[in-house]
Amino acid sequence: MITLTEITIIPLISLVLYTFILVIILTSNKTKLSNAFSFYIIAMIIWSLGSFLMKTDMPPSSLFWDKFLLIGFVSVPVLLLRFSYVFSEYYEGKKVLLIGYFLAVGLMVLSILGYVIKSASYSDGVFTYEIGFGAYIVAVVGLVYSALALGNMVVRVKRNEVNLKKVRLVIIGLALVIIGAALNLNTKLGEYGIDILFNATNAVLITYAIYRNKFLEINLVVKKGLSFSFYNIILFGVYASLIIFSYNTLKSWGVTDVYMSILFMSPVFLILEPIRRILQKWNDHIFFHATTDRQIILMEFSNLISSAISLDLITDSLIKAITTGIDSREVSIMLKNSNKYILSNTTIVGANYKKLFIKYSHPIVSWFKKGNNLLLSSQINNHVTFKGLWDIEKEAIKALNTEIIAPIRYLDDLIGMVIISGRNDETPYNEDETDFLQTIINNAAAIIENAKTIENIKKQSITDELTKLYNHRYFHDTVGKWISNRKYEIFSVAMIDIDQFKIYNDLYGHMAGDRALKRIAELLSNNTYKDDLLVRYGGEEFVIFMPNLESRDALKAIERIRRAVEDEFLLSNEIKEFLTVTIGASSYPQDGTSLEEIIVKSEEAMFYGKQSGRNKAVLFKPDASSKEINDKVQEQIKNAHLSSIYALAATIDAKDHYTYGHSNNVAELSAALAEAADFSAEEIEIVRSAGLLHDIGKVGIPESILSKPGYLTDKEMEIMQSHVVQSISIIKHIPNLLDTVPVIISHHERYDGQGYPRGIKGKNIPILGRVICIADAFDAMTTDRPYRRGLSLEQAEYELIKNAGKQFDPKLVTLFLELIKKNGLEKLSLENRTTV
Amino acid sequence: MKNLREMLRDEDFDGIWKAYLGFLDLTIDEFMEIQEQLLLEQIDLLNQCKLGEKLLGYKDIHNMDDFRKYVPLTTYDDYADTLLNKRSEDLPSEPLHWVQTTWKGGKKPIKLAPYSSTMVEEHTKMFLSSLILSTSKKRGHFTLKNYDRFLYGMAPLPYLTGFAPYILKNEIDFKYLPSTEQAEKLGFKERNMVGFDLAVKKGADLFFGLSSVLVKIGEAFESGSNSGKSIYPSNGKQAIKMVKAWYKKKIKKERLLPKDLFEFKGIVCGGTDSDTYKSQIEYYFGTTPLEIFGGTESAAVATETWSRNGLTFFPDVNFLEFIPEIEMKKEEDQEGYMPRTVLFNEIQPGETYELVITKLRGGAFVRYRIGDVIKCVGLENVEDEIKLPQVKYIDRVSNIIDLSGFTRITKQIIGDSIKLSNLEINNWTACKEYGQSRPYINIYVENNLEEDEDVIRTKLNNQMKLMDSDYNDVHALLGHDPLKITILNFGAFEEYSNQFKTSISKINPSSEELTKLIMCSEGMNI
Repeated sequence: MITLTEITIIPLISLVLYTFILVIILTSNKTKLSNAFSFYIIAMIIWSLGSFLMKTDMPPSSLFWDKFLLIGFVSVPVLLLRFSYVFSEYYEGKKVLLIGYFLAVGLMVLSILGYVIKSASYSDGVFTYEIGFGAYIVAVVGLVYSALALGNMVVRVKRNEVNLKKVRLVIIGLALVIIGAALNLNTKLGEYGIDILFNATNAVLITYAIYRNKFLEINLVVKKGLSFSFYNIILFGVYASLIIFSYNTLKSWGVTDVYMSILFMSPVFLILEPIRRILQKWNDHIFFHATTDRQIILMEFSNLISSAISLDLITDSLIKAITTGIDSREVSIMLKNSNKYILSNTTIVGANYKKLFIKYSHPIVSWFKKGNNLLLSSQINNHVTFKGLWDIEKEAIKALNTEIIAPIRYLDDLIGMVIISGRNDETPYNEDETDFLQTIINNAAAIIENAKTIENIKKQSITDELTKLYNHRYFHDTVGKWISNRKYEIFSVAMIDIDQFKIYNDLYGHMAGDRALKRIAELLSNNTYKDDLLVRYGGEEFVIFMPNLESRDALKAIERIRRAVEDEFLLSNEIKEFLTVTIGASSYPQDGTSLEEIIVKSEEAMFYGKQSGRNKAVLFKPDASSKEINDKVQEQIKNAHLSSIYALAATIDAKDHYTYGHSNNVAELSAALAEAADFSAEEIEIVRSAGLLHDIGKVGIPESILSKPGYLTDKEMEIMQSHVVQSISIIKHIPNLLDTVPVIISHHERYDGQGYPRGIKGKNIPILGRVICIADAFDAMTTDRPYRRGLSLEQAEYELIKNAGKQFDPKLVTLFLELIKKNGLEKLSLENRTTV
Repeated sequence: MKNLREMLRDEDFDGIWKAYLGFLDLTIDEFMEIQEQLLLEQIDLLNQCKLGEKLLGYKDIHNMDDFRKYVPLTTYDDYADTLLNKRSEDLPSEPLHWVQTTWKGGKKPIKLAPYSSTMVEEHTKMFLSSLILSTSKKRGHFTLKNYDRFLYGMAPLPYLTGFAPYILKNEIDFKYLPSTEQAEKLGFKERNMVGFDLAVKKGADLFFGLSSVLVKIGEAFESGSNSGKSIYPSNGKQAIKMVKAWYKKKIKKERLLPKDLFEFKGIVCGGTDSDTYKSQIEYYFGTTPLEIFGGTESAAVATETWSRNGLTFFPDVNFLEFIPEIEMKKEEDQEGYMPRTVLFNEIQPGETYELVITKLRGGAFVRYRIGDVIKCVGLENVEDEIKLPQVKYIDRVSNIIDLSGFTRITKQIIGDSIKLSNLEINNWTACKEYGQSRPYINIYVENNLEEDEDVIRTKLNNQMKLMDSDYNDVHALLGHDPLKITILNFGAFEEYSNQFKTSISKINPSSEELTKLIMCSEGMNI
């Protein structure tokens, strides 16, 4: 018969406990660790079962059960070592383990042959046994392997290969196992199975360590079952003990009557309910505290954001809730904007917001768009979908310490992503935690989208749509506030105007103009400091508010910007680009006492720069903006202008004297026609200069093509025609002559749209270009060439009339013919003529 | 991120397959998507460096179409100045290693290729993919382990294959035969011999080498002309094998083959003639080798899979383009013709192509002609369930004769050898022909002085050995003489020119051209 005594109770408790642990392991996810641990537990079950039955009169005999227990007993140390290796991820000890397995088998054989326990008997509740020489071998082997298991853990911790926090409970457990085994050598203590008790304690500690470090994902149903059983066993134990203790106490007081007993014990019954509640709370805390905490976090988060409209507040709260709920080290949120996902908020200190973005075409976006829920870093590293990731994209993912990426979805649209690093305690996330993550993100999605919409509307009202810079209104609102709050003692304002932007627009169209504006805005943005405020002030004007910058530093800053634009456009390899900027700057308080005054002064400085030749960075000087300085500068410019033209004309002359004569004639004829058409004096000067320079691009055309008699091949013709565009590459470097660019570039356009380089037609061709076109053709027709004589005046007139409306502007042809009729051409100083 | 060593320890076999061989599950569209994504990255990197400026020109190139339209095809000449002077600052990414190879027919004796850290990582990964596949019998299955014994028969540093043992150290633990430390002190031949002896002693699991070298080892073993040292086994398994081998040789008096002593889990082989040598390797070693295709400039390009029936390209090492045969012909006929390329999703079964690569991940080579010709053998591998086009390596482009994977014989080498050996040969043509077991060079000569064929062969052979150390190695390392001379009658070449109004190519004329030449030699009108 099996009776519970003080020597059978320990093995029995251990047996129940081990079975309990085995159930947990078997119902959890299978890993190498759970596998190693389950073998250790099975050995312990054999040991404790054998130990329990050995101390009862269960047949066949105590000796049989003793030999049975030894199967577990000799296996435990080596299996413990195996577990220790797996737990600490140490893989070099396979030989030691192999020896251990051999030794264990050998010891089992010794035990069966009766060399370990010679005899064992149980009678009248007393268990006695006699050990043989094998028992010492068993003890030594057991001690050595248990010590190795402990030693391995300690060494790994010392070498920092394993975190002490992760393994401390296992170390304590292993130490207990060794102490228990050592005590076993004393046969008196051995009777009680203290070693089993210590092993059982070890098993509990290991189970807790595994649970705590999430090496096992305990199945929810099992978890509930376990919690229910655990709670009921404890409850039963406490109730039974309390009642038995009270009953015995009453009995010792001599109260034996049932009614009296019930009466006396009624206060005891009254305290049972509070005790039950306390036990229930403890039980929930052990098994479900994390879940309960997360529910509270979810509730608090929902309350907080339900009324929030600020995107920053919402993302801050979301990050806080996630870090608290699942103990993540870092959390970052990326939100969708017009063309990519940008970093919106993060806990990472010093994160580079500009560099951390994800494009729409990014494989991560495609992954989520396919309906996948969570993306783990291991998937990014190993899944073939992510083979196309760029190195910089991988770096961005690394910079965010990515462990998990969770999508933020709203109405089938991926509106953002939450990027989560590993946990503070370096344990992996479990299913409960990822469920929490998805729930909280789902709760936040609609509110984030709403806040984003509001923010966008707000932003649109203060942002310039084309350049995405702030606008005039935002500048005055914000800087106005700063000034009234006296936020900055010193500041400078720069006024930037794009030179000849109208010409650029006329030449290349408004689309190209818009692109140039965007590029310049980007350049300005890249060349301003973090605290500067850059706005598109209007049209082609930008303003930069530069806090804490004195005039000297402001000059350096605007010069840097001027040079950046010059490098990108004027000095670029693209010959058609000629844009520059003129920048004026003034500083507070030295140049004015109010914002308006400072802006006006910077504008004055900018105008001064424009008048002194454009592409300038100018600091406001009170004495430099006066009219007389202006006149002086204008005079200088005019001189520079003329000398530029003559220098260039000399260049053409050097190439071919005939071309010079032609250019001079075109200049004279164009100016005469412009005068006849009542154009302003300024326009007449422009057309004269343009006439002189219209063929300047020919300096880049090879002699062989330029002076080739007869027809040109297609290829040669292409090269020849390129002289028009080539002209710009020369003229763009002389700011005073930029006005001539639209005229020169259109002198080969035809009224019917069949010309080049742009093929524009009718009134889309700049009027001065149409003037030059007639002058150019007329001069070409009426001058001698090395291989033919020029046409007569009548023939030339006939050609002009014939081509009016086709090649030439018909109105201008009429004017030109009138001019001829009035003998207007005779007054002109034309060269290389035969007919005029 | 876990490396292969850790994944093997964790027995995460599924994870390993996904990480290293996941590309075998790609569809052609997915493959092309990866190609395009990484090409865009490469264009971006090229746009920021001097070499890119030179190759891409001043065109604003931001997509695949413009890239193929405006960037010309290149050869090593386009890079020689930058790479041979190691101008790292001009490259798309900082090189971690400079890998060397010979430059046959080039302006300098060697070529250098830069490898950035990402390229090294990718190359390692691709090489491991092939190693895993060499031990695989079906999808998802493989037997590669940590501490596998690895007989490594490839060229040492600074050649590309010499890097593998060093870069693999970060990924997996192999026991190299001999160890890398010992190998560094040995020459190519000694290393192979020491390695082989060690393999006999300890057993070997993996082999990587030139197919021709493997066959040579097998032949030497079969004829009993290996190192001859007494070797004692270092483990029980090997001892049993040696006893069995002894029984077979001494008692049964049968020929001993390497497969009697080894049980390779996988053999990976490379080199131009791998396909030719496959059956011999299987005969000697009992394992069908798995072919990996690559080169110094391109790194690993493609690998065979478990059925060993066609090469599958790696999607993320090179951007792949192919010059169709018809375009190759046009180029041959018209000087300065820039051949058109097709993309990987446009190649057709049965067609032959010259491979053009753009190195991804910051590499230097852009639309680069590596000089290899491949044939598309199918749009998928039905047996292995791979839905990507399959190719077979054919040979080097026709103006080079490649022998055994490391010898490149050019027109100049043969021409100079004829001149220096004082043979009165005015007209000749040479081509690679395939014997029963191995390829050889056949030089068709017009015998002016009616010299004896053997005399011509010996003189030419000796001169070619002097001229080209690799050619000498074919004799010294592999022990076979790859030269054959075919004497043609005097006037054959002139007759050919007269009849066909063109002269025959000096190197690798087509079989049709050769037939015509032989007929001209025999005085037949065609």
